[in-house]
Amino acid sequence: MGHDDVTLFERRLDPVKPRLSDSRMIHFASGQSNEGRRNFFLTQYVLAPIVLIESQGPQTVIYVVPNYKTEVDGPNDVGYTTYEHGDGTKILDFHNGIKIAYLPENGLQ
Amino acid sequence: MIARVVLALLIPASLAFFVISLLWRSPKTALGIFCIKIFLAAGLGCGIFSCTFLIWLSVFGASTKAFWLTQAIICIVLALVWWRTRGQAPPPPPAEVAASPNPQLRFGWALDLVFFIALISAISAFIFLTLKSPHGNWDAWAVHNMKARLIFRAGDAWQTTFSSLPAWASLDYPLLVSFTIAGGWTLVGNDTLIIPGVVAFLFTFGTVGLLVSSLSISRSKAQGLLAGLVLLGSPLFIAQGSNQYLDIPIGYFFLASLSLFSLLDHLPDNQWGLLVLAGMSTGFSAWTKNEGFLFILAVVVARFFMITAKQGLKTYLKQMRPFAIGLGPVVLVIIYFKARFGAANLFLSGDGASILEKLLDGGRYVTVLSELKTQLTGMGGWTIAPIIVLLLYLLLLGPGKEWKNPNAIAALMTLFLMLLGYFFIFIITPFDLKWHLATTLDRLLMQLWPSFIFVFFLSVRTPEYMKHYRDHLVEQTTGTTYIDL
Repeated sequence: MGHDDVTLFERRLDPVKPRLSDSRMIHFASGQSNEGRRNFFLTQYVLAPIVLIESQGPQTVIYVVPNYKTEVDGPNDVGYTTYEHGDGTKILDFHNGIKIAYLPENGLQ
Repeated sequence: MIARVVLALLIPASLAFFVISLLWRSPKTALGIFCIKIFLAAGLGCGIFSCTFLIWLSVFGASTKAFWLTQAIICIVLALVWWRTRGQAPPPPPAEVAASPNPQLRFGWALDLVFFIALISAISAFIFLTLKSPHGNWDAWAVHNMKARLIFRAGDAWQTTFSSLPAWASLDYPLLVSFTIAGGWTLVGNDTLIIPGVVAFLFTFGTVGLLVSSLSISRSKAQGLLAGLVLLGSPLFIAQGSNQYLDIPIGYFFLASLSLFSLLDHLPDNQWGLLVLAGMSTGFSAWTKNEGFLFILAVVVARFFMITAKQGLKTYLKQMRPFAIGLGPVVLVIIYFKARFGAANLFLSGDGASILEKLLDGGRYVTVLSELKTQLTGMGGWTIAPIIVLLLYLLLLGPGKEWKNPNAIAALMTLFLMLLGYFFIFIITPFDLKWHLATTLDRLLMQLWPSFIFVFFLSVRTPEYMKHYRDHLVEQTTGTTYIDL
């Protein structure tokens, strides 16, 4: 039953749900395209009762790994590795607990 | 699970049926009235159930087993009261009234057959479309089904979660359907997609049933079936029903209110109960969508002018008392909900200067009128304009005596006021006008379509009348007189 885009989207988010079960509110980077906005509504529908806070894009996200043990004498600049995903997301991993993500214009897919 | 789904639908509908039957006493033999009560119970059941579920959740929290047990006990008590007081029902109509000329049509069986085929086709199309898109279309899953999930899944934290929804979630939208679905899920124990689909089915085909059964009583069986055919033949009606859009439930409540008012002329012994039920139904329209508030205003104003003009102010006030008794509790629930969660209404939150500027912009009137003309001529998604078909029917059969009836004229005036209200909502809309018209006008008109079909067939002569009239012409030599149906 149901091969519509809502059912398929819900199936995609099934493995994500248990990892978010403790969250009450999460941010969603929707981008500026219609597709990104539609994905925002779809994600809200699928993840309810978690409330999604929409953020406009394109945007850059900085991610700081909590409790990261910095080596006092170690080099603090070892360069970075770039990962590019098929959906256009680019992640720069600085190998020191800091990552920067450049989200695609139409949001995370 | 199927048994739980059936129970989740049966308990609210049975409870509503007994409330309706206690308010509206009818003879045991009145099959037509029994049918109307069943179709009313389907929608009013959802209305009563959603209000009680909201109150229960607010007062007792998500103790759902206790809620369902209470519902079942209330239902049994009402059934017992109804059973014990059945004898107080008014007697069947006297023989001379019952024998009013309603002759059998020669090809009546063909009409029955065509209606049956159209009904089966519409049900099949509805089921097919629902299976294809079980979550409904955009507005369904993005707004009211999402809220139903939120209410059901958040459990005791539903109020906090609900309050934290951002503005895009349109917190001022009423929640009859969301609470009905969430309440159904609590009994089933999971958020199965069957419940929203079945709720949409109840309102879609409840509208058809209500239209056919009320016209069968007010006018004639053939008239009822023809009206039902026009509605079933509107592809947009079935599509919007299966899309789980709220325009179908609100259209159902509009039709229920107007048909209950029209029954006042045919069932003079049931005035009080019919008016209480009309008040409830009008209130539930505002608990379904904000357009229902406009409907309350339109009903009160239209009936004030028509009933006062034709029957006097005293009759109007006498009728408004039971109407207010039915309307009041529902409005109180809406006020509680709006006070607790409601955000400002998008259309009314604009600044005065901007609204005035839009009201004085002639171009906006031209745009709205042009789109209105396009939509009205293609109403319901027909290949040919249904207005032309209806006009042909009117030309062939002519207007009936109901045309002069204050309840029929008040119903028509109510629809006109609604249309006028929608027109000005578009004029002052804060959204891009063309986009807003393109995405909502057809759905707004679909809210009024079943009621318009009802008023039309209420006011036009029936095929049975034409047969009686023709037979009379043949038998003129015997001196038979005909009665205008």
